Amino acid sequence: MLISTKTGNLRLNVAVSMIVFFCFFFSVSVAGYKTIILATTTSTVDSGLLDVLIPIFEKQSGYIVKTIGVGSGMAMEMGRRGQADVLLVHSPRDEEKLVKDGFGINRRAVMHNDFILIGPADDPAGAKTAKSVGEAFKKIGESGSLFISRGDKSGTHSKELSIWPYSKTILSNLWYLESGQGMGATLLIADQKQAYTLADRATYLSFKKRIRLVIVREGDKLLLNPYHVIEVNPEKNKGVNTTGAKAFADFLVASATQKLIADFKGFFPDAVK
Amino acid sequence: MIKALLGPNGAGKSTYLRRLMGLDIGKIDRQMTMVFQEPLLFDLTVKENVALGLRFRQDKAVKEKVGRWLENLGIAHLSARRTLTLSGGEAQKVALARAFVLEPKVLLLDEPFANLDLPAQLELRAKLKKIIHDNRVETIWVTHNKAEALEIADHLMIMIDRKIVQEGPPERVVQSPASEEIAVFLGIENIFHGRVVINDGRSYFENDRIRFEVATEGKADAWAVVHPEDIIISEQPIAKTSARNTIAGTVSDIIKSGLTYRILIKAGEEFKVNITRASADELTLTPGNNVYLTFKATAVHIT
Amino acid sequence: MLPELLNILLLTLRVSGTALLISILIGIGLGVFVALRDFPARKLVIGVINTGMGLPPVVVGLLVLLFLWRGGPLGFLELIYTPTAMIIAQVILGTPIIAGLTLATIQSVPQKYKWQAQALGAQGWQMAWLLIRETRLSLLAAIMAGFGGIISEVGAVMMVGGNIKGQTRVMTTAIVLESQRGEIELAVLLGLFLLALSFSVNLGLTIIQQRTKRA
Repeated sequence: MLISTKTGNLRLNVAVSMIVFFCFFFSVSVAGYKTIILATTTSTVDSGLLDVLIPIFEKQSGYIVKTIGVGSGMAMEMGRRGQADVLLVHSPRDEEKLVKDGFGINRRAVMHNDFILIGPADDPAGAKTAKSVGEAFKKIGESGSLFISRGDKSGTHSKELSIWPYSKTILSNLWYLESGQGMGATLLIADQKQAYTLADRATYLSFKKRIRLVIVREGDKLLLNPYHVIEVNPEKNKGVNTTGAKAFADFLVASATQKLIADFKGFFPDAVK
Repeated sequence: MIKALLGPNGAGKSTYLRRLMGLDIGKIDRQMTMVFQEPLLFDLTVKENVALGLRFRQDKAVKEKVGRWLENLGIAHLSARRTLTLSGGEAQKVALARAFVLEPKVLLLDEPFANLDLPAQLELRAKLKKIIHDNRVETIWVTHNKAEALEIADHLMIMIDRKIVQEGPPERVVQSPASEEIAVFLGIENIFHGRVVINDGRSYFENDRIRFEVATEGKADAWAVVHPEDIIISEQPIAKTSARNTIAGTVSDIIKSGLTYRILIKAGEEFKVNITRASADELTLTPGNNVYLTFKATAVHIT
Repeated sequence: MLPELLNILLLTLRVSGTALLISILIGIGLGVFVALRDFPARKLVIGVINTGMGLPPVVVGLLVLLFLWRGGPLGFLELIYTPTAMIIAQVILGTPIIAGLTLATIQSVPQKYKWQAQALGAQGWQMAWLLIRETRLSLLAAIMAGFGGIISEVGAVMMVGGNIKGQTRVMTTAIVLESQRGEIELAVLLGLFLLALSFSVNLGLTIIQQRTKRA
């Protein structure tokens, strides 16, 4: 037992314990100088692309990247508050507003992946026969087949919401459900309920072996999901690592990186030379 | 010097001790220590318990002192034992050793043997008294047991209702209780209520039922106590005696208790008289007999 | 995969282990102090400790986040998204549990034992040591409760750590991530690992606790 019956020894024991844990405590901290905070979306993290790119960047540049995967809305908010140094997001309308409001600079295209409409193999709504994704959505609404929405202000959610007007359908909670969760969880729910949902191709591919849903509609221009990198404007907030942000953004659009992106299933490079 | 604090339960004796010890305000005098009714040993070995107070004071001679006092209390063979396995008497001895080892200026004992069986009480009482006197420890010993108090006290204090109502050498207190309350508590008998009047230069105690001569000043409201041992019973009044009082009465009851008999006699008031069995046999006392009670005026204690 | 798993396991041990150690030191100290001493607003402090036992981890995480991020009062420390931030959050969660249970334990020691200790000359630290020793069975249970709260929480470490691969990913946040990704088998494996870890620690503490039972 640490504590013996001699009260003098007790003080020694307490002192030693305190020294030991203080060493522990401080050894666990990480130095902050060469750190970049990258705010991106959960679906980007889930795709695994960053697990490939980030280590390469860190090795090359000596920076440590803290990748924070949150909802698209939160990523934008982090940009506005200066809580991140650089953003990698895919909500063009919100991004444009961010830049217009002066919080983001040097917005550059990096890559795109695409969304697909997936649903049960027997396609009860007949969406496969539609001539556009808007029409596919219309058939789903008319047939009253279950549709699971992300419902979380994510990029996928924004994309989905932008398609509904084309379907000229009124949403009803008899068949339109919101999961409020990430892409993976939403796919699992849709699979369990044999419902339709809009997903990004990369996530769908990684889940393919464990769900029975199939691709019902793909390839529309409307379904493209463009990613941009945006550096956070240091003039709006204090403490932003501008050199780090620029270094990372430059890395993303560099041709070597773009080639890696091309090789990664589901993503297509977009950086303009 | 052992000061016994005697009183009925609830009289405030324990509270008094705790206040002396400083426990009510949380400021204790390290030159005093206290042993409670329960041993209150901690979850350590016997020898660690005894050493506790010394360790708190960072004493340098712990081992030697602990060893010595374990011997004194006769528990050296228990030194490595854990306290849960001890009997009541053994545990209390540990508690006592734990107190003595501190060589306190004042030792407070709060009914230390109240939870023990009678043989253990008697054994420990004598042992403790000897240790205290041998080591000259100033002790305040609280008890509700009259026999214990009388056995151990050098100085007796009676506490009733949170106040010390009488103190002094035990024989004096018992002989002359300062009030009826004390007398009743002490179990003193033949207590009568009345007044003392002076008549023709003589004092008499009187009430509606009885009258006898006493040797004190006049008092409007007085208690008279006559010890059962101070009264003589005779079949006929005794002639030419220095005792001022001879009262006629009737035997109402005889209680036999070994070698002493307790005779209840109605003589206006009810008197209790203690006489030897031999005398009782010789006098052939039976309930209903007419007898005479004789006692001196000076044998009456007036309060 | 394996080196990453090892990384996660080691980080979990470092973060939760450190947080537990600190929570024990502060928690038991605070619990004993409040139990034995009287001071103004004592009842209020006890109320706060008792409320603290049931703090929702994600709320604690959110509040620590607001303190530690840029522009926050402690933002200059640059602790956000580091294991240190996670330790801080877990200490805030674990300390009240240990303190509250210690407080109740010490308060339930009968007054007469405290009187006896005082009568023997116990002062301040000495009284604390003696009572801690007397109640060590219950205090070990308090520690196990604190450990349980710390090792199982995910909301706070997710918020202030960011679940960054190789840096701030611990077992609970890894389980969330992998199940979100649909990697069910991996998530279950991690879950079993976590249970095994928790069980071993508690087993160790239980052995110590049961060995100190009165002979």
